[in-house]
Amino acid sequence: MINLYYAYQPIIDFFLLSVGFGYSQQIALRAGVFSIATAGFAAIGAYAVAILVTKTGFPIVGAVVLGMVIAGGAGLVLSLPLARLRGAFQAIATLAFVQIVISLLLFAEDFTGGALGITGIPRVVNTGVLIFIVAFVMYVMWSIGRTGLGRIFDALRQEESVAASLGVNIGRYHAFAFILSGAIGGLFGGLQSLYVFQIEPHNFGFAFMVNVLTVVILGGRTTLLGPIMGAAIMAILPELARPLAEYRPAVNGVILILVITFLPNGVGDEIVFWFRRRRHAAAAANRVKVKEAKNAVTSS
Amino acid sequence: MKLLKLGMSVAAFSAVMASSTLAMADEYKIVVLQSLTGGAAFIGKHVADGAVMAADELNEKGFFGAGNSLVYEVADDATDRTQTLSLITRLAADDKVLLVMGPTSGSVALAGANVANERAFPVLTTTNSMEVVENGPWSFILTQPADVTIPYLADFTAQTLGAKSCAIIGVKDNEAYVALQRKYEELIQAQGVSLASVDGVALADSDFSALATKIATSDQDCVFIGTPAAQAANMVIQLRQAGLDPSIPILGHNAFASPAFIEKGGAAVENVYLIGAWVPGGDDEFSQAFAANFQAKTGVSADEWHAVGYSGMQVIANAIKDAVAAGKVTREGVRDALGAQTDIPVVIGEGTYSYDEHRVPRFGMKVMQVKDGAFTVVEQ
Amino acid sequence: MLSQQILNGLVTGSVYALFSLGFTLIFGVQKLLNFAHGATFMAGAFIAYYCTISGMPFLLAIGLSMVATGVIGIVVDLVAFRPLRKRGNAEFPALVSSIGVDLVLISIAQQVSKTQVLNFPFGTFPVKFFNFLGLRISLLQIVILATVAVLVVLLIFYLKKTSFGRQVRAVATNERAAALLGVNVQSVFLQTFFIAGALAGLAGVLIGLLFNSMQFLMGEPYMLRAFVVVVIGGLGSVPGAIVASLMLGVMQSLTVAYLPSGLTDAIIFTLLFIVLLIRPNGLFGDANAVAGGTRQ
Repeated sequence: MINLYYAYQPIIDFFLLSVGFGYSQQIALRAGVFSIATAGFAAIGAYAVAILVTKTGFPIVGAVVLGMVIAGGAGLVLSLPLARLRGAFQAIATLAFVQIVISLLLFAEDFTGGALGITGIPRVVNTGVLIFIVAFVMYVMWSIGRTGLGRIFDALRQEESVAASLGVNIGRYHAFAFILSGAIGGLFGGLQSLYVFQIEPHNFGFAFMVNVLTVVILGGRTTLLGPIMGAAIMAILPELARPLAEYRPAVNGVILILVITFLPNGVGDEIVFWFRRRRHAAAAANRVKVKEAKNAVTSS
Repeated sequence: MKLLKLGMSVAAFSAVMASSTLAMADEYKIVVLQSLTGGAAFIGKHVADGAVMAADELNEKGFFGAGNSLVYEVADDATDRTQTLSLITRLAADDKVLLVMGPTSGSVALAGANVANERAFPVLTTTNSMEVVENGPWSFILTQPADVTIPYLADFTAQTLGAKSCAIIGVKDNEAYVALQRKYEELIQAQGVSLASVDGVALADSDFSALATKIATSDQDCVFIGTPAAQAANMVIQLRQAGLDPSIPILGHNAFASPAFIEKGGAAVENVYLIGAWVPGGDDEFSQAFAANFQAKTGVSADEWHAVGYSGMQVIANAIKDAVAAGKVTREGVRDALGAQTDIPVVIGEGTYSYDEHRVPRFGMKVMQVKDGAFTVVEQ
Repeated sequence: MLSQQILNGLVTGSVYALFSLGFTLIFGVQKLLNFAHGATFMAGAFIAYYCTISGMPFLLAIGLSMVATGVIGIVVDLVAFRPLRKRGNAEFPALVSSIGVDLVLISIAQQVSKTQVLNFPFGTFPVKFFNFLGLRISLLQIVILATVAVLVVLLIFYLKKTSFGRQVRAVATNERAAALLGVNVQSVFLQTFFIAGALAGLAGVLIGLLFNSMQFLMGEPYMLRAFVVVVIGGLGSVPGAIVASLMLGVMQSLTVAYLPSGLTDAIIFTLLFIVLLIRPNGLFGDANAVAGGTRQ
């Protein structure tokens, strides 16, 4: 068992990182923001931590927190202009944001190491740390889901005009979703830095964006289980389908098409919905039974 | 057995294992883990092909003594750090594997080196990055770092050509190419050559019209191009089309030493200077025999990476043989023997391969020029 | 050098126009972003290449490649867009499924080309240069400028003067009303996808020829450029896309020539960002593409 853990440890760790990035992507989508900015946030967090730790001797925990704050701040700044945009335009603007981040990382060589990236980052993150932080983020997400905020996000996603007519300040909640998306993305970007020794701008390109999107689309856009299921399937799939390794992008592509067409809520969300429906059905059946019993009593 | 169960894409090569199950025969097992797919496949696939051919030849020759053989499996790092980390971690858990020849390049190689040093497991990565060596005693590099290779080109630029000012075109999004370009800039400047301009392109770029016009209309007496072969050929074509003075020499590093450079560049790349570890077709008995056999076996003419893979396997085989002779057929024994290899006959560079005291590989480089559509060694 | 750089930029920009027209056409009609457009462009170059090296005359290869990429366009609509349209609110799902198609096409091309950079054989197109008022222009550049100009005129004529064009504009303005008036909406979609695919395919061939280089990821940078073009030109606006493409081509040439290298992308995408903020409808945007409008 211990051997098995050692053999598969990197897969487990990358699964946990994917879950984290998945939540960053999910919180934006959940609030109805078509953001694909997670790659940019992750890059900001990763570079902030890498630069602070390798060049200034900043304490590691402080660097991670600061990286998270900077990325959350980037989310806030990004949300201001984006609040005026909708749909496709948000997607394009966030894509532009990622491109700007990447080209600046390549350009500011003195600071970021350009294409060479930053190396020699201490490897201090392990599976335990990742589990703890993923659990913490899940708790935060769960708390959000339970409060009014979660319901407002759901309302924004489903019918923005209705939410607006009920007096919801759309811009403010979108900004909030962006800050959270930025902070979570930056947090896991920083953790990734402290896990893989070395980062370069290329790590946060189109492939990263597609992977994060796949995790959330496959898993589900609204429930806590979503990114976990998505990341788990994406982690296990290449192991099961090694002969298909050469066609990995195609496999990802087919999954995206099939899931979005036939299982639009994603695997994780569908599972949760199924349980909810069952519970509701059971509750409804229970009510009927009680009512029948009452009727039986009164009619006798 | 674990390896097979883990299902790497190596079924084809298990035939080798089956044919060598003689009683009492010793088998020395290694894994060739290269980028067979993904961005670095143009390196990794070729290195693996060259290495496999060398291993088969050595076994046929009975290099390890009667009945003994080198058993290898070929696996794919997919130019993907995640997959590589888990593969090496798993290989390290299999006691039978003495050494991994790989991973191929860049951050994948460095990540591989990290795991290897954590798990005390020797890896010989194809890259030339000193960071891999500095990472720990278990990680080696197969190709010469820029410190070793680029002086050949920089000296040629400053001393033989007598250039005074050079335009530099580099790749901005690949660390290995950036490092080579930096080294070249540093070394020619140290010899009094000034930089007329420094520009960067992306690996995926193909539109160099603006850059070509800019350079063709500026003053310089040499142009250095630090990109992969196919892109460089295209760049030279566009420079010529933009009207670059044909008398200005164009120079490139060892990436140019690939048949693709001449194939894609055609007449435009005539007279371009480059350095290379491999002279296509070979330039001595050993390398000519390799070139002929490789062509016969695969139908492809060997390029620099095939030759590097072939040479790398020679070095590994000699290291294992030495470890056997020393009675230490363990990972540690192989590691120590590998770092102590000197003057191993290879098909690249000046013909012999050595690790120096800092475990830096040295086999030399040749300055070459494209003449009549072929690489020819420049006599200095 | 300045005028030469402007010329370089205009040639590149004219190919951007060809690529972006199809993209903006699809957005104008369906209000959906087609992320597979870059891969379609790449497929055009690949198909023409493999036809040419198998001995087919080059013009025939171009024709065949345009038909094939037109069909790819139709397949994209049938596989990735139509099933989602039925469900309504397809904007985000369509983005995802077209990324899926993009990945599949790229993966196939990667296997077919074994990740190699391809180029048309020497002599596919005569290399000939003219010196004109101090400018150096190749026969190929002249042919490309002329081809793009003719195609753009034809497309505008088609959209403005034919009954199909009227149907397209009707669907773009109000899909439901158009359907009630007897327009076969599905057929309009298929035709626009065919035209968009064929134009992208031709753009791929021309770029492959102009810069003698084709590889499986070649569509990605052009795709990103197309976003810039359609935002600056106004999503769904044909004249806007043409003007913005030429502008982008020239701007790119000039930044490479006169600014520190490596800043080009940052400048282009920052510009996109600024335009999105100041004029979300694009510099030349028409009222049909209202960025702030409610979702379909």
